[in-house]
Formats: sequence, C-alpha cells, structure tokens
Amino acid sequence: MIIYDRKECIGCQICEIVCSMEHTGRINPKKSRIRYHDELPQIGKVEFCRQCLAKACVEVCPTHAISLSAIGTITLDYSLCTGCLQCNKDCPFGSLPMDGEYPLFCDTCNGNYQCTQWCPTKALKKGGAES
Amino acid sequence: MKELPGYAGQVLTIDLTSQTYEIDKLPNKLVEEYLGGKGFCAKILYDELSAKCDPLSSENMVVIATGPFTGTLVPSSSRCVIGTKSPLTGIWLDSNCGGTFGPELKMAGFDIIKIKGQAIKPICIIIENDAVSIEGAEVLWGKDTFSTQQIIKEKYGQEYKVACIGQAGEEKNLVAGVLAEGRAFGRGGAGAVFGSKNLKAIAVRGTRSIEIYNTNEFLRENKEAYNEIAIHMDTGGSRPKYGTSGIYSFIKEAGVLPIKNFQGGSYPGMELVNEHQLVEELYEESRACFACPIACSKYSKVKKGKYEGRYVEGPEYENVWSFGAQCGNSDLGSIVYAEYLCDFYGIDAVSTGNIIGFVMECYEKGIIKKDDLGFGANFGNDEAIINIIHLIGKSEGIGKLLGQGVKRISDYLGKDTSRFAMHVKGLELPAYDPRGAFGMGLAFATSDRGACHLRAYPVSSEVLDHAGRIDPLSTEFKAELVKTEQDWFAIIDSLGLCLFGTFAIGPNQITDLLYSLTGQEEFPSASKLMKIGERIYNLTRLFNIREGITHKDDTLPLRLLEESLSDGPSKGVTVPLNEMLTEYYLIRDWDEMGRPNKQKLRELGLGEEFCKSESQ
Repeated sequence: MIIYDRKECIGCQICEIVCSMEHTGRINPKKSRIRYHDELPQIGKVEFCRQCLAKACVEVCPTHAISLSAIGTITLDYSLCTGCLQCNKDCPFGSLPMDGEYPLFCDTCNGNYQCTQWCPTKALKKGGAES
Repeated sequence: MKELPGYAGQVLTIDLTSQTYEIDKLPNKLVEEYLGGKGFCAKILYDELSAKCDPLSSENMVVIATGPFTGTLVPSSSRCVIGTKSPLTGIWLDSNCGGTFGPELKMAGFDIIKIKGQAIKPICIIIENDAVSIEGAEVLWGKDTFSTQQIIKEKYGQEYKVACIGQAGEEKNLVAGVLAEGRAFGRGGAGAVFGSKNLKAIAVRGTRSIEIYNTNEFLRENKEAYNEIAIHMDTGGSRPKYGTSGIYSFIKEAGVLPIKNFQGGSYPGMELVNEHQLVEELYEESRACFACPIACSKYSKVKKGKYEGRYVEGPEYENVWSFGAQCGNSDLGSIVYAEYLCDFYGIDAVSTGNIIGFVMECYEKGIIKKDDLGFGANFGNDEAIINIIHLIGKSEGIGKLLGQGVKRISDYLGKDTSRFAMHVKGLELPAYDPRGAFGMGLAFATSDRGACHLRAYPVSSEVLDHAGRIDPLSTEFKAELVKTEQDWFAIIDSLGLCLFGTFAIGPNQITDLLYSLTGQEEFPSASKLMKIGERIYNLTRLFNIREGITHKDDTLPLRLLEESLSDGPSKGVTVPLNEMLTEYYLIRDWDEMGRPNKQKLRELGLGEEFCKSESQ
C-alpha cells in the first residue's frame, strides 16, 4: 500500500500525471487513481484507495462489483458497477477518486507504484507488507 | 492518435460583443512556425490587431495560450501566457503564469483562447471541455480576487480553475494583473484589459487527455530531467529551500539590489534581511505549480510584530525587494501583507512597489506632499506602503493617479521627475540595478514588453553563476548573451515551461522531450528551435515598431545612465548602454533605428509581416 506524509507534500500533482500515464497511456489527471485536492494558499492532501483492512467498499457494494484480488488490491467489475458510489460514501479514508462515472481504486501498478517512484519529495512511499 | 500529440488541438474564439463563440482546429502551420504560448500570441496579435488600437477599447484582444509542455510530465511545465496590447506601455505584452490554470485549460481541449470585443455588462466565461458559456457576473463585480475564485468554485465546482481580476482591473488600473489559483499574470496591465471588456473571470474544467507520441522515450527522458533538477545546486538546492529569494544575498553583495528607488545608500535593518531570515521567520510550507518538483513557492505566515497572523503565498524575491529595499523597509511582516494585498486587489506587486519607492522619493524631495497623500511617506514607513496599496487597489483619491504607473505619474508631476521614474517603455523596473550588472541594462532596454528580467537574464552569468562567470562591469559579450537569451526564453515561454526548470535541463534535453512528446519533424534540433525563438522575438519587435517604437525607446531611466552609486562594488559607474546597444543591433541584424533588416526577416520567414508593417 501507499503511505502518504502530508507534511512532505508540495501539491505538484506529478503522482496524478504518472498514474494516468500508467493506466491510460495518456496524460489525464481526471483519470488518475490518486488525486490531489488543493487548499489554497496552503497545501491540501491526496486521496487514494489505501487497500485498507476495513474493506467497507466490498461489503457495501449492492451489486458485488467490488472484490478483493489475490494480492489484496480492490478490483472493480465495470460490468456490474452502476456508479451508485455507495463505496465512496462508506470509505473510511474520506472519498475515492472518480473518473466522472466510476470510482477508481489503486491497483499498485503491479507492485511498481509509479506515484511513489516519481514523487519528488517522497511524500508518497511504498509501505505495508511489501515495503 | 491525434495529428498533433502534445497539443490539445483546438482554438476557442469568443466574441464578447456578440456573446458568441466558435471552436476551430489548431492550425499545423501555426505550430510549426510558432510552437505554442508566446509564439502563438505573437502571431495572432500581430495579424489580428489593428495598429495603434486603443488597448482599453473593444478592438484589443486577449489571447491566452498554453504550450506543448503545459500540463505534461515535463518538470516545471505549468505555464500559460496571456498576450495582449498593454494599456500600461501601449506596446506588446505577454505575461506568463504558473500554477494550475494553464494545465486545466489544456485538459479542456484548448491550446488557445482568443477573446475579442467588449461585453456591455460584467460577465464571466465558464468552460467545461467544449461547453462554453458566457454568464452574468454582477455578483462578482467589486469583489477581490480571492472571493471571486471562491464564489465561482462554490457555484460551479471545486475542480474549476479560475483566472480573474480584482477591483483594480475593474477600474482599469494600468498595473492591474490577472490572478489565477494563487499565481499571477502580473505585469503590464492585462487585468485592465479584462476590466475594459467587463470580463471578470474565466473558469475552466477539463477532463480530456493529452496524447504522447512516444511514451517510453518521454518517460525515460523525463526521469533524466527530474534527476538533473534534483541534483542541481539551484533547482535541487537553494530554490526548494529559499524560494525565489535564494539569490537575495548574492544580488545584494554584488551591489545589484536597488535601494530606495535606485538611489543607493542604506536603510535601517537592511543588514538583517536575507533568504535565511525568510526561512527562519516566515516560511511554513513549500508549494509547487503543476508538475514542478522544485516547489519554489512558499506559504508564509507572520509570527510576530504588528503584522502577526498575516499570510501570503510568497513573498517572492521581487517583492522582498519591491516592498523592502525599494521602499527602504526592513519589516518583513509588512512585506508579506503588502504582497497579499496586491494579490487581493489584483495588482502587479513589482510595479506597485516600484511606484511606492518613486512616491517616497518624491515625498522626501517635497514634490508630493502630506496633503496629497493624507499621510507621511518617508522611505521606511511601512504603514505608508500599506496605505498606498489600498489607495491603488481601490483607485481611491491619489490612488487613481498612482495606479497609472510611474511614467504617467512622472509626466503628471513634471519637475524633472522623469530622471528617477524607473521604467523602460512604461513598464516599471524589477529588482536588479544594471549599474552593477551591465547586461541587465541591455536586457531592460531591449525587452519587448519594457523593463523585464524574464526576457533575458544576464545577471545569472554576471553575478550568480560562479563557475562560468563573466565580468558584470564590462560590456564584452553582453550583446550576444542578451540576444541569445531573448530568443531562447521566447522558446521557453512558448513551450509552457518555467524558466527555473531550465537552470537544470538544457536545450538538447528540451528538444528531445519535445520530440518524444509531439513527434514533430519540424522540431529536430535546439538550433532549429532557436530560429523559432528568433522569429518570435523579431515579430514582437515588428509589433512594437508598428506602435511607434524606435531606437530612442530602447533606453534606460536617466538615473542609470548619468548618476552613479556612491558605494558598493559598482561605485562610480553608470551603464554604458549605447556601446552595448549598437553591438546588439548589429548582432540582431537590425538597423541603427532598431528595425530588423529585410534579409533577416526573409530568413525568418517574416517577409509578409514586414510588408504589412511597411504599409502602415
């Protein structure tokens, strides 16, 4: 999982850029699975799926579109998802990034975590059992 | 794949008079010849503005343009340019801003917005991808820039990025800027042009993607560029720590920091002010523009004294000077509050500080009196600084005159005040005294928008670069240096790149990044890019010639040419401008009147433009 240290964050959104490149091959922060929210004139914070142990999203999803993968990440079955966003409402860490219609869950980039590799201040780090 | 990877691919043209808009494809030829940002603005404004049009009339246009790098992974690539005819100078203006507005505009699908005409009532422009609406802005009129941005976000959504004017722009104050998400299109009075069009704000939200020509190469080259930035002593060392003020001590020790409206001498507490003091007493957080690992912007909060609790995103080096040394003031709290107020009202903090220093000199010389102001204004009077900003920001009383810039104030006052009205072509000087770095004198005199340190920055080689330093008090190489930097900086400002990133990443790296992003065969080498830069700089020159600029305007305030400083490293010298200027014209292939010769224009593909300027 990703560990975020708000004190080190500079709000550059480089995590959003590389995340969207990794997952779409193009640059589009609005498709990123990690999202920075500014609090001008001060630094805001990023939001992303932490693959937390609570798994509230899995439990509350009315269509069972959300499940746990073998490596412990959340996967979304788009054919089942209705975009009701109950997962978003029950997320214990606040809110999940959205692509405009569906929630976006961190898939760890196959364990490569591009956001942590590119974060210039190491505000984002690879953590948990895999670190 | 789109035809033009790296670009959004569309031009949005809005006519405020008819309240209509249209969306066109971005022309390939414009990209090939003018690259982006500043280059786009130059070509469009030269072609579409009529000569000698009134900058505050419906005839003037606002062009907002991003570059190919804007909104991408390229480090420090957040920039966006506003081009217009300046009401402050009456000539070319491009004003360039970081932050998040430019990237959002590009994600909405636009490389360029052209705004023409004039609305009859206050309006704002709301853009969400291709959906463009022109909406009434009566409720925003009279509001400061912070409230304006907040109200728009509350109404349309927090994801919108807003560029807007404050009260000063509404009043067509000539030093009014356009504020966007904590950053500013500060210089030259673009805010007054917005005001004249009754254009309060532009809010944009984009959900589109930017295509990349060769993703693997682009990633690899970016990784290298990020590494270069991280290990460079400026971009990876002093700038992240000290912000833009990292140069303060070096500039001061070299005798290049202008003091008390360029009179020199000293003021109480001046020895205490430096970059270390800013870190210790003010800085709380570092803030980055979009895609910038440097994060030179600081969130500062005043922790003691009468300005306790005041905060600002800043203060920038320029303003530590403009409200500090320029006004003989060493109270950091007042500097923070002064910069905050400039952002609040939407006025250029460089020009405003320059104006206040000028007023203070006039006050001490008895030319401006206490009755004129309603308060005393000796150098070092921090309350006078704050009072004057309120007057200018609200266009109240004498503030109406002061907001017209030092050239017009000096014209009004007469009495030989033009000697120390510190401007070139009407734009107030920034924080460098060219008597300590001659190259800056030539840079100010020949900058296309008037006195500006961002069209060429020879002081870097003259003072700041300890490895390849050249003599600051010699004229040797200065003409070549200024010409080369002007052409290259025109490219930087067209790419959407911030100048600071280029301290670490060089022309070849930038060219490689541009190719892997766009795949355009027209941008094969740095030398080819330099040709585009030269084309842009010559076109803005033609723009200015069309407005009546000649060699006589390529000059400096008399103070710099005739009065010398009485102490410091540049004691006893004045700027030998003519010598450098003659050489500069030769190198540029401009004649003795400062006009590009026909052969040069033909070489740059500007033959047609030349014929147009001849016939006017």
